[in-house]
Amino acid sequence: MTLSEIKKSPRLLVIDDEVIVGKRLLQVFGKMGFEVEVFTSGGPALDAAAARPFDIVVTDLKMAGLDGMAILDRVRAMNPATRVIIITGYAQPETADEAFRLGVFDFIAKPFRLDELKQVILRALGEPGTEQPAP
Amino acid sequence: MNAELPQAAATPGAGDAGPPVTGGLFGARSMKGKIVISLSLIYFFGGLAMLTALFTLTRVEDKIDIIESLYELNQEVLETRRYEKNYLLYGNEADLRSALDYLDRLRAAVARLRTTPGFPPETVPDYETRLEAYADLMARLARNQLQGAELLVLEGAIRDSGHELTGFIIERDGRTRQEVTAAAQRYRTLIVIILVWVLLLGAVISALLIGWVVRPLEFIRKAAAGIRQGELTAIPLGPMIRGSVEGYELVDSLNRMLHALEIKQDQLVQSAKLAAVGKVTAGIAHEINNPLNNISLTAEVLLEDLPNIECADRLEMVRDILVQSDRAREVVHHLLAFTRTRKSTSREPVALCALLRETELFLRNEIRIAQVELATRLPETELVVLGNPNQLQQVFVNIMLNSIQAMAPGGVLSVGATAAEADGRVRIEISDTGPGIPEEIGARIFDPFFTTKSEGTGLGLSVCVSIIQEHGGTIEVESVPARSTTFTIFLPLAGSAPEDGL
Repeated sequence: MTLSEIKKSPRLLVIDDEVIVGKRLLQVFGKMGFEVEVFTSGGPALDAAAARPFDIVVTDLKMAGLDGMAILDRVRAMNPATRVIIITGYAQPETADEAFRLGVFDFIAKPFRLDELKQVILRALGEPGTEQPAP
Repeated sequence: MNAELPQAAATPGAGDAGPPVTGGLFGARSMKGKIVISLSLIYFFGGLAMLTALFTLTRVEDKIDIIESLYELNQEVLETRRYEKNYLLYGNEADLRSALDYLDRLRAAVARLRTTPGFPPETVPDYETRLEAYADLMARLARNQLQGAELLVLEGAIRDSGHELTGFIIERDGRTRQEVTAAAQRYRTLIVIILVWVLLLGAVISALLIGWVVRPLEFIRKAAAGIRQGELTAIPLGPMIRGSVEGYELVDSLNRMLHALEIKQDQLVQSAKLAAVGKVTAGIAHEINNPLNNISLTAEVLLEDLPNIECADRLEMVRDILVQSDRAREVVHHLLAFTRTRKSTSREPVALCALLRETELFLRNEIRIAQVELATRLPETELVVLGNPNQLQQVFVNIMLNSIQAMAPGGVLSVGATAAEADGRVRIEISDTGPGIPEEIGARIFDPFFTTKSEGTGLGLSVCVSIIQEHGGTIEVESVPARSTTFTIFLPLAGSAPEDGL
């Protein structure tokens, strides 16, 4: 599956206080033709999203300041078409349930395989993005 | 404090040879034997006193019987002589007959006197002779109607003879009374002597009992205090304890109990520690999964795209992998260091500030996940206490975890340590900006099995208290409802251990 089949230069926002996650996702998805922006905290990332909406947001859950849930909530409020994917090192069923209730596209536990994330992102891009019900 | 507490405490239950013989009262080694012998001595003297009293009382009773018999005899004599005198005065025949009748009663009274126990029987025949002499004279008086001088002579003889009868009785009566007084005197002296002996014996036995019973107990009490302060692990089986069978057995079973308690305590501490580990699983999972994720992500990218990645980038990525694996290893190392079991009684110098910083590292992720801030105020110079670093860290982890979990995001966990001025103690303060402890709960938070959390064991803080106490310290909690909770721990600084202050 290639990106060109789906959309030209989809916009991807990566938020993780683990610097390496941002660096690697930038490497991989940049080469795949994504327009990637990387942040290590929620505040500047939301500013960027407010300036220009993203198609996909990949965010860590537990971070100092704004956490993944808050980012999910704000991004979905700003632009319901944006798909939010949460990645976390401490996945609990309750947190996942809450995230799905807030309209997360998928919930991925760290450590994940790169292919897994690629599949989820491509799936998110493939689906029409307007019908998400408000929580 | 006590010169008798020896250096090396005996290991309980290790090759107990029976208590060696060290003499004792008549060779009795058991406290029971000593007490039985002491009490037997007292019983013996008491019995002796009682027997003496009984014997003396019987003697006195006999004397009183004699006095009574003598009194009766005297009455008969007086009666006889009254008739005799009446006859001599008035010459009435009836009086003479009555006198003669009374002589028979007199004889019967003498016979009774003979059978009275304790009366010297050798005096009776003498009296009988005199009585018969009197009776003879009376018979002569009755027989011949004497006249003039002859009658006067007989009357004089009768008077003298009657007088002798009375005189004998008075003399005997006086002597018996003297004997009674003497017996009472002797008895009083004897009683006083026995009393003095019993008092002396009582004092000696009391003193010995104090030696046999109270001093070993006092020794055990002091040893128990030493154990409480962590200077001893068992009650030493010194010569004083070995001197008595019961003392030896008591100390031996106490030592076995202490050993069992120590094992239980270690188990309790370990289970509380594992419960604390259970509470930090979120942080541990996060802290291991993140570096693992970084490693696998970087490795996958290298694998997927190696030929197209620049050499400098490859090097950087490989370095990332190494750094991240170090990071994961460090987390596991902290966890292992925390869960490691060390003998609870082992003591070593502990760098307190370093230990507090290490604890903060261990809880770094809990702090991050709870979205609280950490404010640390530790002095530049290291504070050294004597203790078990593992157990002290357990205390800090428990209290900090409670604080972290009590706070809403944005709260502040403050950790501080200062050397308290004069008293050679270090003061550690751990406070949070949580909701505080409700007044009705108060100090119960330190009770075993008290918990407000559905998944808690309620052991955390109670184990903290026992660990701090074993280190010769104290722990306090102060709470302002809806504002803050502060745990304050005092520990003796190394070198100022109160070994001399017992």
